[in-house]
Amino acid sequence: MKTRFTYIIVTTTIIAGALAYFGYQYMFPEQRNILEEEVAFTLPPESLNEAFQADTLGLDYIDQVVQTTGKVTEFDSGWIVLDNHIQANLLPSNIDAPLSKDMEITIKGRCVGYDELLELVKVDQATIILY
Amino acid sequence: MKIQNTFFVLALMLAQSFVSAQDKYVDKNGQVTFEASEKLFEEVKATNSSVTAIFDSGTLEIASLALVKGFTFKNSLMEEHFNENYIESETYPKATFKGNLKDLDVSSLSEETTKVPVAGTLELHGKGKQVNTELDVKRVGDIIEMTGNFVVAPEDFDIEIPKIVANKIAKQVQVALHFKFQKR
Repeated sequence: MKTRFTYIIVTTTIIAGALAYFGYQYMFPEQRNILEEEVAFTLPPESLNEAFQADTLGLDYIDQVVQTTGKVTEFDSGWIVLDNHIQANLLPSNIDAPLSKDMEITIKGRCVGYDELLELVKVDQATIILY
Repeated sequence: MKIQNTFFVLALMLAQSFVSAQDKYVDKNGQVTFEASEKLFEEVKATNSSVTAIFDSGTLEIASLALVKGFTFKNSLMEEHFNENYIESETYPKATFKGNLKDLDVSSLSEETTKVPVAGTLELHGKGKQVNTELDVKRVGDIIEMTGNFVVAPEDFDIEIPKIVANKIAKQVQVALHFKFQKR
């Protein structure tokens, strides 16, 4: 009798624990880690910009992890413009990266969309992976 | 005579474009936050730190664009629901504001905050809404800084909140903006 009671208690606890764990995972999933994610597209800044001009919604690219290599044409704390075609917002860990104009770099980040005011494709959560 | 006229018109156009280029201020990394939290429930708040804003100090026009996918929430499931069910960012990827500042003399701006009324149209989810608010404007060095707040309602933009979550999301959404304009 006692073993049966213990068995019920243990089983219920395990099930409740599992439900709570998976429930929590569902309600509060982990944030994406773009740097760890696999690259979906590798293409030059100009090609990405042209892709958005051909299809302004750019659904193939939005929210995807892109990797691109280009020359720094403009930069300030936390963001860079590559080849006058892409603006990448850097992750906090990259903010102090030593940058200079015309430097060629490779970044990996999440494509956010096309900014018509600046005529730039915006990329966020970017990391400089190659100088 | 005709050639002379053409030259005159060309020169005028050139001068005009020069003047307007000089008056343009740009912020490529403006910040817009909105919050629709209800007490006792999980925070409903998102920030976009990559908002573009262009301010013309000659005409006092202001234009801003935020890519909806750029709004990040603490809870990524909330972010997913926001994009897919509420704002439908695949169909409507942008939120824009176009307006005019009133009664502002840009040359008299200082480090002390000046309150400036602004009126314009906020467009998102394919719908436009007139917004009238006041901005705090100041100049720090070469930078013109603007901050402001206004309130909008999801129904203004035909955004339906399902009944099941209706008490967790505020009817009035607080929007805060912070732009630091640099001369182009």
